[in-house]
Amino acid sequence: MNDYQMPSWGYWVMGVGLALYLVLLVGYFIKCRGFRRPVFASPYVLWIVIFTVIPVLLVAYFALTDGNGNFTLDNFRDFWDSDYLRRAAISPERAEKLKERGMTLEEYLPPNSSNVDTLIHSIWMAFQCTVICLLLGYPAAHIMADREFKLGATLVVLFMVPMWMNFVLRTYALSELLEEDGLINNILKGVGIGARQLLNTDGAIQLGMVYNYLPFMVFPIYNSLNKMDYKLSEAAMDLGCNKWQTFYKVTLPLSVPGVISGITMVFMPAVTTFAISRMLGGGKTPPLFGDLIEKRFSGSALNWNLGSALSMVMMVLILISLGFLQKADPKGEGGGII
Amino acid sequence: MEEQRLISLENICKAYDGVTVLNNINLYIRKKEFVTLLGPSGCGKTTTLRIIGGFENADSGRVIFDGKDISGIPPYKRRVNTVFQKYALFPHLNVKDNIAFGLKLKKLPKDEIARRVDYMLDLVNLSGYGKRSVESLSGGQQQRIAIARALVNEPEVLLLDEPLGALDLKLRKEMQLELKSMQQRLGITFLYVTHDQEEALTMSDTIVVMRGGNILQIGTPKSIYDEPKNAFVANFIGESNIFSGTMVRDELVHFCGEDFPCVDSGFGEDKPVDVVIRPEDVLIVGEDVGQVTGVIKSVLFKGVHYEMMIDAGHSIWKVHSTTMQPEGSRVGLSVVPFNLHIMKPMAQEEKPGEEQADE
Repeated sequence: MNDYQMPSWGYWVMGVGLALYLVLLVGYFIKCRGFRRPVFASPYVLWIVIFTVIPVLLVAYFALTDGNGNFTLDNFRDFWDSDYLRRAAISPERAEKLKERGMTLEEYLPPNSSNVDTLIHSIWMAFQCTVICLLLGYPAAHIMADREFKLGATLVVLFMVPMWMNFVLRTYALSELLEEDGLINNILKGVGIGARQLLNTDGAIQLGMVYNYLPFMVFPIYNSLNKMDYKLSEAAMDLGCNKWQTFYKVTLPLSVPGVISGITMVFMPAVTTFAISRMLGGGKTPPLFGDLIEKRFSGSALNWNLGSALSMVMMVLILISLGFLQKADPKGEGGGII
Repeated sequence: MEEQRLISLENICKAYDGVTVLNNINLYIRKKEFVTLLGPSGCGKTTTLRIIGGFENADSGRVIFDGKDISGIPPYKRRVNTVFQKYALFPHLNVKDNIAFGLKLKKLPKDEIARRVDYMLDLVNLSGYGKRSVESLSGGQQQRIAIARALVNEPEVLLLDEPLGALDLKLRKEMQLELKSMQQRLGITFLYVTHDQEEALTMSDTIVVMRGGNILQIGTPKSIYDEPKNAFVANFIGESNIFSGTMVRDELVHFCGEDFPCVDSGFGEDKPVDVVIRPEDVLIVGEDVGQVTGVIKSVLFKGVHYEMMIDAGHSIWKVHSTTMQPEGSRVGLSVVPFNLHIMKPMAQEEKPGEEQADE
């Protein structure tokens, strides 16, 4: 396979960028006669250029070229029709022979889920994860933000403590619990239900995602509920709302920014994860889209061009969904998206 | 007259974490009356209002509304509406939807809701503002919307919790008159909470002066101003000179080293009393005819009158007068007997040990 490396223009862009940066820095320094705001902001600009702008350009470059650096859209075709490569590897003569034997190409080729199927599966899993997090997280946030609930602050800390622990450690701990003779199965055996296959299932991955991402749902909602003026719910009750009406006519609409922010912060990492599915799926579950991308860059099926194309598809989908979410919270009150 | 009483509070007590906020409050409010709860912050006036609104429950005692005990009934089932201190308008709804909030809950027909909302907007002089977002309005406008939002439900009683507190002086005065005329036109009972004595005097039919969870005095603005029950009320409502003295006998009181004839009696002989004199009731007369004499220490121009501090040897007198005396000049001071207000000394009433012994 190809020996992938940064194309030479990448160095040029970086070089020119750095030079431009230095020129601007000196220019501003002279113009403002000292260290003013633009000068202080410049390290961040440099950071963005090196670690965001150039990488995105490189991803676009690889996605739109073949192994020799020539422009092509084949990578996107390969995303759409992942069997194409394999079919292309079979000579027309061989295909003819298969036909004579009464076999279709599909039957001959080993079963393989397509990139599109994987993408749909990934989105579906992330969607489920987001819904579960919302259903678990909203009531939790509501309880924590309740003025009359004295343990609210304690609960906030309890929700935060797992986040202080290393992500990998947390997930491994979960896999220990789910093992064939792990704690949960032992309990199941103890009460007479019998051991189940828990680890290496979609359910285990889902559990891992919800477990890891729940705080990202709870805290934005908690924040938006917490900063809400409690007098507003009193006003609603005063005007004739019972508790339930107060909730869906006042509290819920006012917490929408938090909900939007929470959905974004859960859905994004969930749809791109590969670590959780690897640790809790053990390669025995249908792959997630993050797995596919990862495999193209460091795994068995090295292909930076295809991997970049897959990343681009993901990026565009995320941008589109962000656009929709932005519409629901035009003022960005949820505390910023991404 | 019993049937006129719309709300009665009977022996209401309330404590937060062991601290008494309301101490055995008894109060009744008549139909179409404008009642003001007046007192410094922390006197329990807002808590009283919240108990009537249903946002707090009294620890003991009963709230009678129209002959029925409503203690424990949730706010949304009470025929009262509240104008909150910082308005508490719904930021996610526009002006119209804020006002229509209560009517929509009652599932009234759409055209009637629209009609009543328009009427209210007109009443508070904000017609044409229906589509605006509430956050785009000024404080005074938000205030009117809050009043409209409460009044549109045609409550039996409107509770107002320092509704004008956030407005500037001129706007506040305008709104005071507007609120008062609104109340008279609509014939709705108003229960108003404020710490501003002038506001209370301007608007109320009845003022309830509160302090430390107790009601000190209930009466019309005039009776509370003219006949304050004790030095605290006297000092809180308007400005006062308060001297401690002795009741020599009926209709003669001794303070500031002199005997003064007065119109009060029944205190007994040689009993300690507080003497309250309004600054505008002190007359500046010739040095030789004054009941006491003193030196003008300072003169402040206050617009309509001058405020002069006069040192009379053992006491300082605050005097309001439309004519100015030069600083340093010697003058005589005189008070007609009717304007001397004699009351039991505060210290006696206040001793906490005695209060508990009474219970």
